[in-house]
Amino acid sequence: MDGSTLAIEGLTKTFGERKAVDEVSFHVRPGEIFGFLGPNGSGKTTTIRMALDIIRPDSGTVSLFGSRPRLMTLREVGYLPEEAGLPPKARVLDTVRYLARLKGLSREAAEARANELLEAVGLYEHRLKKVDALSQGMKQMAQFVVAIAHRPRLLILDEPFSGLDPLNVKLMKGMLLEHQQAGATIMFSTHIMADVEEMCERIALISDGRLLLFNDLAEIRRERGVKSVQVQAAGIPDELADQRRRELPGGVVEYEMGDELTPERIFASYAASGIQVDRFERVLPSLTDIFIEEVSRARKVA
Amino acid sequence: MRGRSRETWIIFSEELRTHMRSRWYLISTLVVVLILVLAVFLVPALVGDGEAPGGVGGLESGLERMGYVDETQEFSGVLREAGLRESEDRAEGLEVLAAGEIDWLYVLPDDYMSSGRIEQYGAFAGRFPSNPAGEGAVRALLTQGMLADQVDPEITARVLAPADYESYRVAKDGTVSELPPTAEAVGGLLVPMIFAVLLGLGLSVGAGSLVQSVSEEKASRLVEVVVTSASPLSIMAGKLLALTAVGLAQAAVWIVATALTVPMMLGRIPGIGGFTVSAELWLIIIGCFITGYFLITALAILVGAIAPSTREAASLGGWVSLVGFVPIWFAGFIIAVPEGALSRVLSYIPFTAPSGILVRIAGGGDMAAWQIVLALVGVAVMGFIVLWISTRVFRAAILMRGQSFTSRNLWTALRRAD
Repeated sequence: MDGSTLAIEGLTKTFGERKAVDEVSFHVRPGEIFGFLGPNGSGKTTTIRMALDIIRPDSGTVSLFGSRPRLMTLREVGYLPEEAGLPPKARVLDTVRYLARLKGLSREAAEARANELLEAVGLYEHRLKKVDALSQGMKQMAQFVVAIAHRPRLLILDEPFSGLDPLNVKLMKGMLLEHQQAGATIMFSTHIMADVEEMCERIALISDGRLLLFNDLAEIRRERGVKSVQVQAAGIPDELADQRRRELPGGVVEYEMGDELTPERIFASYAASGIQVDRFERVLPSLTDIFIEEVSRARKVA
Repeated sequence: MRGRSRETWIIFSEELRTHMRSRWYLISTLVVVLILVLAVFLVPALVGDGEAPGGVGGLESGLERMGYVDETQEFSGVLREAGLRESEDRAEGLEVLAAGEIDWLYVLPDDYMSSGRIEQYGAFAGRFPSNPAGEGAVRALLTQGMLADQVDPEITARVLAPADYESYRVAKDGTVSELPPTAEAVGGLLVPMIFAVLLGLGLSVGAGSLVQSVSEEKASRLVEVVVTSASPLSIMAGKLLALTAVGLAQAAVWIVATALTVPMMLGRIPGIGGFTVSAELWLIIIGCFITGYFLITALAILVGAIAPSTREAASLGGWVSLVGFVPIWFAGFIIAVPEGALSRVLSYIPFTAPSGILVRIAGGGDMAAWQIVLALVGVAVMGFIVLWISTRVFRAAILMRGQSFTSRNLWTALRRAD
């Protein structure tokens, strides 16, 4: 799509008899944080590799900054692979500096940037250690430093938060937001829905290589409709006494939506009963609910 | 610096730094230097005592450690004068031997003149006695004793040393030339041979680990980051140049160590004396090392790129390590017949030429300068061809991620690997 940072059209990749990616299309807009979701083995990494021209699709096209991925444009991309892939026997600082130089930074700039970022992620004291002396989380943070060292216009992160403790997750999310504010576009893959709900404006969901959803996250949730209504009130109207409901802490009652039960009907029942209502909230489905529902439906169909 | 040359330079400097710091690299470099230094002292000690041979039968010292019993009463004079210890009879001689005052006892029985039989007693190790110097000395002394006062002393001297050969080389055109002095001949054999072995050793030390490292890198996630930053040609060229430079730096240390130690070692060996290595030979050695490292490194990178897994890479790496050693296995044949078909083939096939040329020169092979240059240019050209192929294979192998390693998949990937 015109103006997209990354546009993927009809991407298909077959490994032997298995279609790892099947006619997948989506695009990532400049400056957004885009979530690329899917269960394990759904084709996320294969799609990312094709987007970065690491492997080639059997059919379909990839457009990066408006043209086919080439080295010149790929240098504007920061990439964090699914598994940390730093050379185990090399020193952390040397590795960051080396890969930053390959992305176009001068020796001096790479050195300064590496030190600055290692300090920022708490690895400065470990900068002279060999990579294999780091913990799994530290390796992931070092790999993240490699991905952002050259201030890329597009960051593609494959499962960036895996193996990180909550502090490092928070730190990485903060740094990602800083990059976004500085104008970078960010796309990350994950199967942890909370991260996506917190960070992303739009998402694509794939399962078994097929695209199931691609839209604004808020829109997707709206499209699903109201999942339930939570009411904090002094009692329950007689009219709703037979309806399916759940008692939540704090005197909150949650009504599940059905064919006949709508938020409007619940609201009207409470209004008619004269019961004092302290809170009335329409609950949209969580991304986890949508994920499970969509993936399960797709697998049933398959 | 722009584009590919910048990428190549960055990869070159990174690979160079990494390999120069490798513990194995430092150890293998220094071990050879240590062996050469030890050889300066050990080889002359093993070959001889550092003095020119002389005296009876080439054995001057050591005669006092030999004893005799002369039942014929014909040779006591000459044997005693030569310094051998005399015993009255066999029993006394054996007592002296058992007491460790002598190492060897020779008994000339009274029928010696008719039988030629001499009894030799000694505490030798192994199945058979090994005392050629002692036996030669006794033989010479007996000859001297038998001829004394019978013939002219000059004839005695000729009987003892009837021929001292002086050889000349006759070329195809009939030109006669003298052979080089012993030092030069030994040096001419030894120096290229030592460097052929060092080249084979250097290549085998580097190639095996290189195959595995390329294979591991190809399989790792790091390569995904690197291929989005540099072209496969830059990656391969950077690696190739760095590893060639690393190998040559190692070779340079060995060459300097050899240049310093081998003349010292030969100078301490009796009858050889000092010698110098010609500038032409140095040029050939350096040419063989540069092209040899370039080609074998390229080959190792290719094999590393083509190996389906790091496990296969380990076994394939062993085969690459052997390539540089092939001419050394056949060194006996090449040195014996330096102009034979095997010598010619091994000195022209690019993969064996660098060490093949050195072994052939060691054998006194007659390779003209243009032939050597042609062979080494062939090695360099083959290096570039292998580099180009390995670049394509490396890219194809990355394109094949997630796919099984079949010839069909490989062919498809090779076609797409631009």
